[in-house]
Amino acid sequence: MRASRRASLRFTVIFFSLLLLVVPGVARADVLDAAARQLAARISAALPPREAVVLDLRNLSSLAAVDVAAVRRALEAGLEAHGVPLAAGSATHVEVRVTFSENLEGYLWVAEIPRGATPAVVMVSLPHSAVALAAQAEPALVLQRELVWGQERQILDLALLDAGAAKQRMAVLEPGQLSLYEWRNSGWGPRQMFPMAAGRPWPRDLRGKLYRQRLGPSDSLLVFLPGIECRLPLEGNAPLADLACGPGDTDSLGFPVFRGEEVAGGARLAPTGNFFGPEVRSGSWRGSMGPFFSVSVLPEGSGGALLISAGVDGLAHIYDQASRAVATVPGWGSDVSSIKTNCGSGWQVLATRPGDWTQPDAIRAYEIRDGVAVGAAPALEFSGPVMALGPLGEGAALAVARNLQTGRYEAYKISVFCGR
Amino acid sequence: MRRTRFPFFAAASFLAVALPSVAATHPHYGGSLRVEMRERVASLDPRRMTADAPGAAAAEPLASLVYERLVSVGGDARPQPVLALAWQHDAEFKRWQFRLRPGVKFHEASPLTAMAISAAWQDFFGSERRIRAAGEWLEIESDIPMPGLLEELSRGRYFVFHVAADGSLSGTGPFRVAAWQPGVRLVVAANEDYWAGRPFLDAVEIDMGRARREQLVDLELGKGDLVELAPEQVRRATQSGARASASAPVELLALEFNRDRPAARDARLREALALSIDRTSIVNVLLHRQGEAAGCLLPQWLSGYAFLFATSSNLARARALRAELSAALPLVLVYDAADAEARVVAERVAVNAREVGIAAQVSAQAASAAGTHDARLVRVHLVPSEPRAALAALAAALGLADALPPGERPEASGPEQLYAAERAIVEGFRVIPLAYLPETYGLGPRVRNWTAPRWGGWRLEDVWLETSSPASVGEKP
Repeated sequence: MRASRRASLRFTVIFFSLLLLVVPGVARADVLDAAARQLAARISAALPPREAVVLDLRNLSSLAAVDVAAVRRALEAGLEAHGVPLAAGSATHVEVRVTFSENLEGYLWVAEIPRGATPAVVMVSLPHSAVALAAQAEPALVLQRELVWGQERQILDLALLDAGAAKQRMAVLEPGQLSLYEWRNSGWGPRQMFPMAAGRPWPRDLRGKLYRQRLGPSDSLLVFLPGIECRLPLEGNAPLADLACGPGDTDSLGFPVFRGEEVAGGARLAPTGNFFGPEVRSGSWRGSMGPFFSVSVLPEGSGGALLISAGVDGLAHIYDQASRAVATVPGWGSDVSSIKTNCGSGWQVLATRPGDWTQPDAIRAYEIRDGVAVGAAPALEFSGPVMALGPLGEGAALAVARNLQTGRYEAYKISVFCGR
Repeated sequence: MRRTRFPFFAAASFLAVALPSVAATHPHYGGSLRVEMRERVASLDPRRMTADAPGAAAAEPLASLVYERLVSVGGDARPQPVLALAWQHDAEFKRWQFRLRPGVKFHEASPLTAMAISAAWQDFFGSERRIRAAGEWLEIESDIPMPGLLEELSRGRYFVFHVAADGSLSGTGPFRVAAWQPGVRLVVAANEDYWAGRPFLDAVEIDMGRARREQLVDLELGKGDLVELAPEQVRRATQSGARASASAPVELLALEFNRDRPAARDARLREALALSIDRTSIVNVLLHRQGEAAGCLLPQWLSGYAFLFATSSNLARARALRAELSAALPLVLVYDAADAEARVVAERVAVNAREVGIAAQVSAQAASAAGTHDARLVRVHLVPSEPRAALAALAAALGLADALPPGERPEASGPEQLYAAERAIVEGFRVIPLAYLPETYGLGPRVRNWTAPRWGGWRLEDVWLETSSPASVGEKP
């Protein structure tokens, strides 16, 4: 009996999931429409033949008002399709109360149909997993995001391995695993998995980085994790060789430090921690700075580069090439990444905002003018904390956020547009 | 030179010094979290954690710091892998196999193996169940189907532990026991080799037996970081700058009738009492809006249909029902003597009852006492599971399993059948639901990354402490 209930639930999930994910062109509105028509069928079956109906709708769920209006239209259309006339206010009619409710598993739409002393109750459930996220509004802002990939497991970094519009391969770095995907018709499918073992448990706030290294004919994907560096040769689209991992080059200072998309230096990750420092290398310069969660490099006109770090003290610090702290910026989060654009001065810094893992986050773009960070774009909001920020390639950045509603990790391509 | 090129540097630096340390997204390591609780937990030994053991519910969050389970139940009520990475069962649910997470070690450094769990759990299973190690797999077998085994293993005493030669127990959890005074104080230290990564905290210090009033004072004075809050304390705590964090409403406050007493046998009397109760006042006034009125057993967030059950009083109908009854002895309503909220709610129920002509006496009773009461005010915590299993567990806890219609056990049904089953229980009036309450905690200003689990309890391995000394934080992994 339990198995039959599970089978029923599974059928519901599969039905709506297939409707949403498999049938080309089916959108969230179509899923809601299908559920509304299913409810209409249930209501009509519970009504006496040709009984006129007035619907009394109320919404106790997280459905947006616009969705409720659309569902109402679909419900009315569904009832009429089943031969149930919708009564005008003055006509003899049955008043059916429909409540858009919600429970742990999804939306629950409940219709109460007057019938003697006790109303008949019919329900239609619609799993959360079957309902797509609301269409992302086109921001009239400078920063835009595009969902690249989402999954249950933590995403440390993500790299698109083929330039231009030809999506072919994607690498996703997870704790203990590098996963390669390839584009198949309309979606990413798994191609190869490379487990990576550490000598000891990974740190809780694990940091990891991917970098596509092209040296002459040699083309590799480099993987940086605490105490480990790995290299995966990339030879066209041929089957990939094994991932070669080692303890890393101590002199290289471990994790890459980026200026836009290019590696400008390196920084050492604390052995079992989640922060870097104090040694940092940028170009030929090598110096020390306070411990930091992330660092990025900006060209500073002809006078050398600026290093911008998000310190463990909760402040962002701007250093010049002589390792001098030239400015301190409060109010930023733990992740910064420089990005080269065609807007403004040509270079901006993307920064998260303060908060912790329980709070929604946002990314803002800043320009550094005379040591002062000036906001260059309104905040781009996320439904959860941004866990990683860095270059993605092709003039875009990558932000990995954890969706607090679903618990999934979502990797976004962040683009800066000179919109206004 | 450089400073002249950056004229705003001095001002920016001053601003940075003047501002308090700003929380960053990435956590800081270090520090000791100070926790206070009212209950006194006498043992952390999973072998003594039977469901009816005194303090069993309070022991759960403490034990969870040290021990882990094969599976847990997530906020969405789905089983989540913990020490078991994967599992499978046969078609009849009589044989389950669990593949263990590799590389996990007990605190005393021995590896987690199927053999170790099998040895530890031998006494947990009666003759109808068998547990054994089969290579890397742990097998649990029974002659009776076990469709709910994952939910069973996700609660109660099914913690994974290892007994050393000297009889001491160790777990695999994010913390290990550093100091233990039963019923008084527990100190746990970070497990440096925790498989999911060392916790950010260095230690957690838990003081037991602290009255709610003392806990609130300690929170306000900065002596406590995490304390329990009674409903009437929430406003004061937030006004004093602390944060209040509540779970979903997970605890049912209800009147449970004693079927052995003649006064409670007449369903009309029970219905009249149910219709007399002003739940809105109970929630809004007595419980300071820290909960929801309950007209049924499952809360709205879990079932989605609780709104179909009335929570308002119907005095006319209650009086009519009472009029059908002959004069009766006063109903004796009892509550847990240690539960201050239960006392005021019980007194309000008695006042409501008298308004419709039902005499009621209220008295305190030790939780374990089996007295000569007609009804008892009880608190029942939801079992973390999907709605059907949660209703079945609630019904069982309230002695109502037999009230479910034959063949319509809730675990076998969809939402409509579940609703019908719950309505049948509620309309039997053997239990009168009153309110749903959340678990509420007060958090000090330095606590970060606290997430209130939907089902209540703690999750401290991700918590970190904001310190005023960032330089020292940076040195400590």
